[in-house]
Amino acid sequence: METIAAIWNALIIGPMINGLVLLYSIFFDNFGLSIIGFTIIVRGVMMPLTVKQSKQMKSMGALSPRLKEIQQRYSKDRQRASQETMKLYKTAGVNPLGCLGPMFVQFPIWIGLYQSILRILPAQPESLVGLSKHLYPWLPMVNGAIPIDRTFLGLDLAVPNPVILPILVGVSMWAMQKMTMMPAADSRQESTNRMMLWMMPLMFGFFTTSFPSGLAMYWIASNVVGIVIQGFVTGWDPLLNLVNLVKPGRGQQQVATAAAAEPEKETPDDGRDRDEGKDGGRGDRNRAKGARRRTRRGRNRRR
Amino acid sequence: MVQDETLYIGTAEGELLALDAVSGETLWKFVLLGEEDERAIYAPTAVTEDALFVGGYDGRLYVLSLEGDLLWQGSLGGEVVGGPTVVGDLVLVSDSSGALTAFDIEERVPEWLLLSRWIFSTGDKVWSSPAVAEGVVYIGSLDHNVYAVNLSNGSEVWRFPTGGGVTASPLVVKGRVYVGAFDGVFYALDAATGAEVWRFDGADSWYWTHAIADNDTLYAPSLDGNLYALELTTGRLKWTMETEGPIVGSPVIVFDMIAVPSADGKLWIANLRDGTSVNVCNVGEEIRTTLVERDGVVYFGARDRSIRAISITSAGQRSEKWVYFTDRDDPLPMNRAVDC
Repeated sequence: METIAAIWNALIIGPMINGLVLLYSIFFDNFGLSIIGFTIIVRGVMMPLTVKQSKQMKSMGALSPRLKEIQQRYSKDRQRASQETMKLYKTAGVNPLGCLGPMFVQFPIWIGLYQSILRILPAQPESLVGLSKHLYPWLPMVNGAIPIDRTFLGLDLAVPNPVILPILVGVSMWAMQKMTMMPAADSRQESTNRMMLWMMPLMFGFFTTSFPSGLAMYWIASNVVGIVIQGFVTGWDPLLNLVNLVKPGRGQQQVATAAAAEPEKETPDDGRDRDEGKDGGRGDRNRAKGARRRTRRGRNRRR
Repeated sequence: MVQDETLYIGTAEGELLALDAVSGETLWKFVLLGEEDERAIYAPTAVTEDALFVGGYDGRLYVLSLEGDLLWQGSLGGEVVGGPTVVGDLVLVSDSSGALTAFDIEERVPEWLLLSRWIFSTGDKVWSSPAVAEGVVYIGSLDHNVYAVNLSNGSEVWRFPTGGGVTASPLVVKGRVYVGAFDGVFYALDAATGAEVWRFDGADSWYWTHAIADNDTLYAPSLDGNLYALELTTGRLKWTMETEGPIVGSPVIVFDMIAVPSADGKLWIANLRDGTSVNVCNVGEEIRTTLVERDGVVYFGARDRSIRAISITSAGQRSEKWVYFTDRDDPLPMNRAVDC
């Protein structure tokens, strides 16, 4: 057990503490900015994984109509449906579990960051003594930066904030979920999606009430960076649709267009699917065209 | 602090204990008024002929009679980590708000009353105990500065910027101020002007606690686990003694030896001349307190909530005199089978 702790400290806690303290001295002795800078670096390092995840989701979106068709065609043979689904994923080069990669990578970062924040911002003098053994002697800047100012925008980064940060974490995570939500192939998956859309933000919002504000800052910054990356890779429509900056349904053209390349049958539950909206993306060439036509008409109407 | 065969020592649980220095028996116990997890006593107690002055992590300064009765208590701006210092009718106490406060002891009969004469503010927490010499107070702050303050009116005489926080109390010897900082540098400053005289930058970690001096040598303990013996006038390294853990509390000189507490759980006894180890007392629990010595007996607290008395002979032999656990009322009998 001691060996595991030593490895954990050497590989995760040590670099994280020294990195955060170094960023603190670079960012004008501001620990809030240090955490935001740390988040951007972490997300930058994870960028290839995140982009891969986004592309997978985009591909999954394109497969959505065909998945629906499989679900319908083999509605009475679940095993066959499952086989066909896997076959489709394989043919398209999509790994549905690949989307979970960045989330699993984040777990040790969350735990490490939680421990690092508590060590960097100790409550008692003896804990400050404990911090000294984590700082690299060959990095004089970090030793000179202690003690760390624990306030940022009026928040104490070492203690939980019960009101503002849980809301910000919840809202940013909801937006992130909205941006990265997997396209639903059937109503069951759609209800799972809907549950995840609300469960994750509520859960993390609740966590925030008992974790240090510094960790909440990481979650917020990480969500914002994630939203930006996702927006550039797969488009901003899920969010833009929310604020009604574009006509609903436009965001689904991409899916509908991709789906139009495949001969599909019309599905009865399309109207309930988040990714297809009211107008488009029925997995049908004609309906897809219809969706585009209606969009154009909508534009003309505005003129 | 030992006075008249009574050991006064504070605990992490916020109790000030008066123990018989010879037997380890409890004479009395005073529990600070703050919440249980906020009332640790980190600071050494200041003792005068008729009162004790205690600073608590609950942010209060307490005045107790030598029998343990509360005479006065007052709130400060922040938690107290460095100990109070009594100079004449003034009590100096620093706190975590960054203030150094000088209290006038106005009345002692029928009731004690302390009124602040002046307050000197620094830019961060002050966890070092004030040192006083020639009408000047010297203090280190976590704002990276060492300050010299006029004792009579609290005005700043000079400040010296170090490269890190300062929790160690300055040591004033023969017109010079000696203090180590978190940048791993030990500084010698001119007491009158604050000008740097020499610096020693051989440590790999912070200086947390104060150094001690003997004749022409300065002994500076560091959190890198080493005790550095430096020439007082030049800062030249004479020898280094290695322990196996950070040195959080200050050492004491016993006969011609130095006893060094270490967080490795051992009390190291070394020769003053060259730092060679004479004996090691393995307590088995981290020792983080500054040592107190009286008549060849060294007193200290360990992490297992024990207070121990170790007798050291002039030949460097040591034996456990008594051990008192703060969660028991009676000291354990002597001659137990311990490696100390």
